[in-house]
Amino acid sequence: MTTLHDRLADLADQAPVGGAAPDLWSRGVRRHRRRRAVGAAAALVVGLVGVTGVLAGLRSDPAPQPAQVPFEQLHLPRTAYPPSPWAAGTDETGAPGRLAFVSVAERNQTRGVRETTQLFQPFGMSAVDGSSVFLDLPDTRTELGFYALTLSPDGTKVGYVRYAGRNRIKGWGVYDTITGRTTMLRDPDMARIRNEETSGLAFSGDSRYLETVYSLTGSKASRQKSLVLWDVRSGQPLEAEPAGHYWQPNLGSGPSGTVWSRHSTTFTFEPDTGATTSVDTPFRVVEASVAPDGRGRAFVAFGPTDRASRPLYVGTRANDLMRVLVGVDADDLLGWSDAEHVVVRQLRTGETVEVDITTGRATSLGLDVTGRQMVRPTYAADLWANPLVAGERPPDPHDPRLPAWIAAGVAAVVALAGFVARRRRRVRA
Amino acid sequence: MSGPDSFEEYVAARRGTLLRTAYLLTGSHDDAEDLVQVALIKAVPHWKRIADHPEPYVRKILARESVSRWRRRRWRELPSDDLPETPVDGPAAERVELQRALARLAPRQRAVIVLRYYEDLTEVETARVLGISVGTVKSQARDALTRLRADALATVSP
Repeated sequence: MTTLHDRLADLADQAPVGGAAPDLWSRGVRRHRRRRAVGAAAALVVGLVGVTGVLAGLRSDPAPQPAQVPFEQLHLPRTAYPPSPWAAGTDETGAPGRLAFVSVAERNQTRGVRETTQLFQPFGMSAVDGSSVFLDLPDTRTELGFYALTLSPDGTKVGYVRYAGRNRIKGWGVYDTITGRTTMLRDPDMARIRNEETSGLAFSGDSRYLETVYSLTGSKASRQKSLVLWDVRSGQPLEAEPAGHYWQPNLGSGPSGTVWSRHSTTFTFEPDTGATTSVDTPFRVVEASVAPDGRGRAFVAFGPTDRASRPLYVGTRANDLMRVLVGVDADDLLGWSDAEHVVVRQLRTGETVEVDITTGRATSLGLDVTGRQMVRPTYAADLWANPLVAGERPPDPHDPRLPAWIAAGVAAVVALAGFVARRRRRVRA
Repeated sequence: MSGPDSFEEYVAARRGTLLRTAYLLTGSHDDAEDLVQVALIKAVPHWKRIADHPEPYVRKILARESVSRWRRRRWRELPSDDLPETPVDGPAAERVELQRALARLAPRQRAVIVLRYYEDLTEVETARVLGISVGTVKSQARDALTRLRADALATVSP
């Protein structure tokens, strides 16, 4: 009996003898170089794709917020963080959802391969998750870094002044933070708005009207400014107070309609019904605010001199007011946490207190503003009713050109390594 | 010496042996020559490391390449059970019979048979060369031998 080995050896005897096989060594070397080059190229591609992916991931912003978030889940932050100067804008991220506040912060803009321009641009912080995003509002005056900017009490609309040039105002814009659409408000009789008070931009208490102060006749003369409300749904203007007053109205706030003061008289106007009210106080009013129940009042009054602190008067009825000392200068009435507590801010420090209008007792809210912000935040006034949250420190994305710089660096290193390797091979040969 | 000269010396000395193994693995003169060339070319980048004892590494490339080449080719080549016309008796007939039986084996089974019963490697060595477990070597060898016996090689013992 033969073994399998014998039978296999017998069959192997039929194997070819093999002709000349020249160049096996050099063919092996060439194959190895080819594979190494392909491997390096593949590694480079994978590396670049990976780096780009990681950086894109770091830069990516959270998903858009759902439009319908229960009111109880919306919060104002104790600390108002600005976004990173390299953060994305709404042109990239889409609508941010309901905002807690708007402000203006430093933003970087790439110029060419290496240069960067610093601008001050408006941003908003989400009332849902605390994320910050720059607001890419059409027709803003970016080169000056100054904005007439306001946020509706419900946090769904950002109002601002639209410019046609450096100083030429052509109207107003209302950016919807839910849909991302901007409603362009423009007086059909005037291509250019004159005598406009950019400091007097506010929303009505029901967030439906944008309150503006300008001359309906286009005159730059005094006593020509009217208080005009723009219905942001229809885009139609409505004159709440006609011209004829020397000073502009001091805008206030209330649960609905519009509130403004002149001297010692405070007016209210309900656009839906046309109803007006007025109440006189024994002091000249800087700012008036009506409580959510329509009865409580808070007034910031003029001091005896321009430099003197402004007195704060509060009361549960318009004709039953008391002057209270709250430990800070009462410069701004930001809103109401309930019918008996008004929120007051000192502009110089940003310190904010909640004042009980029945006892006059003030409690600090511990608000803080960080980073380089050009103005004090404008808060969504309705949200003072909800508990405050700490605030989200925003991520810190880097220059969007970084992936390209890294790719260029890697390519340069690979090219240099290839050059050196080639030189060494030539020297050896 | 670990450069081209030692490689050429090795090729000159061992090419015939490698061709015999390759022929058993492929069953074809052309494929055997091609397989040996590829194995030697693939060994070049590693020559510095294996120059003192190249045979195991070259054999490993040879065996693995024979299996993987079959995998690459099987979808584009039509297999045929019919071998060319051959004599009907005598030693030549036995060779054809064996060649036919080997051709019917799966490539890995065939490689196991060649390495175990022609190259006389142990099961552990065979497993290392093919990159498979010893258990797989055992089962592949058992199945291959069963099929070889069924193909009228009853007079053959392992």
